[in-house]
Amino acid sequence: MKPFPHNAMTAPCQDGDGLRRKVMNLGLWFMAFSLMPSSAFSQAITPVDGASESSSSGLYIKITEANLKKSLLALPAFQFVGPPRALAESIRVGKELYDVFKNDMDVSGYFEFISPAAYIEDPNKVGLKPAPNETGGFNFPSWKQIGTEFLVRVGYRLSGDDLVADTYVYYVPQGTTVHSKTYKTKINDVRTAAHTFANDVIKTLTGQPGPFLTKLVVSRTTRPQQKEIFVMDWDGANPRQITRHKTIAQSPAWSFDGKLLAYSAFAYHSNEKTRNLDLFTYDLSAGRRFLVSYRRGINSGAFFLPDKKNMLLTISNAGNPDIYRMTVDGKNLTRLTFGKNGEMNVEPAVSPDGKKIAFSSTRSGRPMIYVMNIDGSNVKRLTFAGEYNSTPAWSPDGKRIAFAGHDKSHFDIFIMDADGTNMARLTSAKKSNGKMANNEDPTFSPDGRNILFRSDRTGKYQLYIVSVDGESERRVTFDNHEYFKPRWSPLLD
Amino acid sequence: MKTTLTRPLSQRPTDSRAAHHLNGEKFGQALACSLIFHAALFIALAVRAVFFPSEPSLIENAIHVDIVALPDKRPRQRPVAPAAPPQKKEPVPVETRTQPPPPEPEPAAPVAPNPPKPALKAQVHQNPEAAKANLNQARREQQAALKRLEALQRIEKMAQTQQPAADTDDEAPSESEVIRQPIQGNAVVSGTDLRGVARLDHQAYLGQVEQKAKRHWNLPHWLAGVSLRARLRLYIDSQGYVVKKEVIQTSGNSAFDDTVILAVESASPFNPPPDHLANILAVEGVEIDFSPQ
Repeated sequence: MKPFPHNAMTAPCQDGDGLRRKVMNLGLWFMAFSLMPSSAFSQAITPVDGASESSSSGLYIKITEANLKKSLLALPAFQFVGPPRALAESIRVGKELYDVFKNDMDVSGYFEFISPAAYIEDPNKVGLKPAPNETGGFNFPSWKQIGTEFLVRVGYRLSGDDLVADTYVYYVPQGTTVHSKTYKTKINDVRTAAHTFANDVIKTLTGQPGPFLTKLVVSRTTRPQQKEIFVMDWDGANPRQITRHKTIAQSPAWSFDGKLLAYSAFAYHSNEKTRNLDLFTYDLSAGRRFLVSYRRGINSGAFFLPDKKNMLLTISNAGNPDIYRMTVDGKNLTRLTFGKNGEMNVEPAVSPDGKKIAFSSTRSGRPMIYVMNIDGSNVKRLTFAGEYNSTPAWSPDGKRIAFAGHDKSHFDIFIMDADGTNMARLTSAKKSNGKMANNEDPTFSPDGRNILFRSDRTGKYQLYIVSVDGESERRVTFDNHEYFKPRWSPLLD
Repeated sequence: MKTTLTRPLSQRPTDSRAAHHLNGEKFGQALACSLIFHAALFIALAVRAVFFPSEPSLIENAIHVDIVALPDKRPRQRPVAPAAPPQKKEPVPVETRTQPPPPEPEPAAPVAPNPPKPALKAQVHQNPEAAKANLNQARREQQAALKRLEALQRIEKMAQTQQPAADTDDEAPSESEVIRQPIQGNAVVSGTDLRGVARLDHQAYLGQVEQKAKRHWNLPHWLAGVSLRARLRLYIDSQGYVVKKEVIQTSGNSAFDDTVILAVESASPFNPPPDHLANILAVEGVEIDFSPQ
């Protein structure tokens, strides 16, 4: 074998061997040339995502997410500045004003309260306004030092039958006044003033209206076998009985403008000599009720449409419980679901934009959440997990749906995106006997930050509220009644 | 007289025919036995099958089951960023806050006021015991060391409660970030940075700057709903320190702007930039666009 010549490229072609070697070398050179440019190109990287790129004018970074945190709120006790008569009453009134306002601020989810033990200066010894301008006023630096973001100072006095409250809210990092207003109210209506104050603070800070003057409608037990419809403040105060059917009235609903209620009650049909679950509407301002649908079987699960003329409900007189669209006076009926063989389609809920309906159906064998267009077409299944999913509720921005799902032994509240993804469980509670409690019937607050539901963790169904991230939960009603199917009103004017 | 009871081996019949005859006989017997027993078994089973049939065994089709369960409740998350120290309804850590130095997680501030304290204490000790100078000296030094230790401990504790993510190492934070977000299945978890990457190219570096600024950006809930946008231009030196920052576009809300500036200030120093980026970063800077969605 001849040794491989060093200068094979330049060696003259002498024989077949040489020719082969020449071709091999040509191939090697070709490969080398083709590889080099690609390594040079790899230096100039074109980024795929837009997060960090070299724009023509320079380096650029875009940040679209921040760590959200609650703001520290200092809420010292309200100062009584009025005439020293009727001290006990003034203390009581001031406390009610304070408690209602604080509860509203707490539930809003924006704030975290600073404990009074951490205050540096005693708020009772200083005025309501800041020091340099006001003699004896409070000092911003002493609040800044403990990290306060917002400081609320309120002074109130009684004059006749009225309570007058001067309220100030300060943004401490910049030492500015963000809210300064005086509220006047009757002494027996202190809660309204507190809620109005809370709404104003929320509106000033976020630009969104506050939900604290909204109401709940709920079915509540009155006597052992009877339930009636009640309307109450969102925090459970001032319950007002709406119906006096002396039977079971249930499944109430609000119209989108908050002026009408709908509910079902087991009314007696004298010609059939039996009770039937009929649908009623109730005009809140006029105080009048109307019988709207009394077909044989179920007329229940009412849900108003945003157009003020129609509502959805479940009717079973055609055999299966199905969802129908009906005019509010009960005259025109359009069938939307066509169940067969005992299949049930119940609990309709219209999305806030009025385009879709979420409902619960047993068409797959077990009750699951489905969504369809407003005309009943394009039915899509949303939940596949669990064994009994019911009572869907849309969030006010239409992006999420909450529902009650049965998990082995009990119901819990779940939330998912409107397309069925990102499901999360919001509640998990134990009863005193160690068993898991049932948490059912979710309804969103009008600002979409909280969900109200009923829970039997104390033994009786009481109303509770949980933030949509599942973090803070609190009890709303503290009595011996049982509550069913609460619905939170829209923002009322 | 010798009687042999057994014939010695040599005298046993070695006649092959005889041996064969013997073996053949045995074999035949064995074979016959075997055949008889097999036949008996067969007959017994046949009789049983015909006259005493057992129930036919069911062959079912395999069942395909999807186990789809409802998700569990997520454990209460500790907020990533300092959602204010008083998370648990207990006051703003009274111990640290009631002290004169402001409660900011900067090592400089809390430490600075502490040296004056040991000096004060030292003076108090010296006056009544002016004679015992050496003893006082030793005591003073001990006190100073103790104070320093305490101060360092407090700083560590504040750093721990206020910022769980360590900022010294760039890979560790992304891991602790991953741990903080519980995996819920069907969700892709953001991965950690690739280790062992020898060279940082500029896209990776900008990504690091973005991650660090994002980690330090705290926005209060009340500012989160509004769509605000602020743009800063940062000039970073070769060590990664922010030497200058200018606001190119303000959001119109001074509180929002403050959060953005604070984010950049607390994220500094970043990692030292790679060589080919260092010049651009020092001279032209990098534009950071804060627009939460």
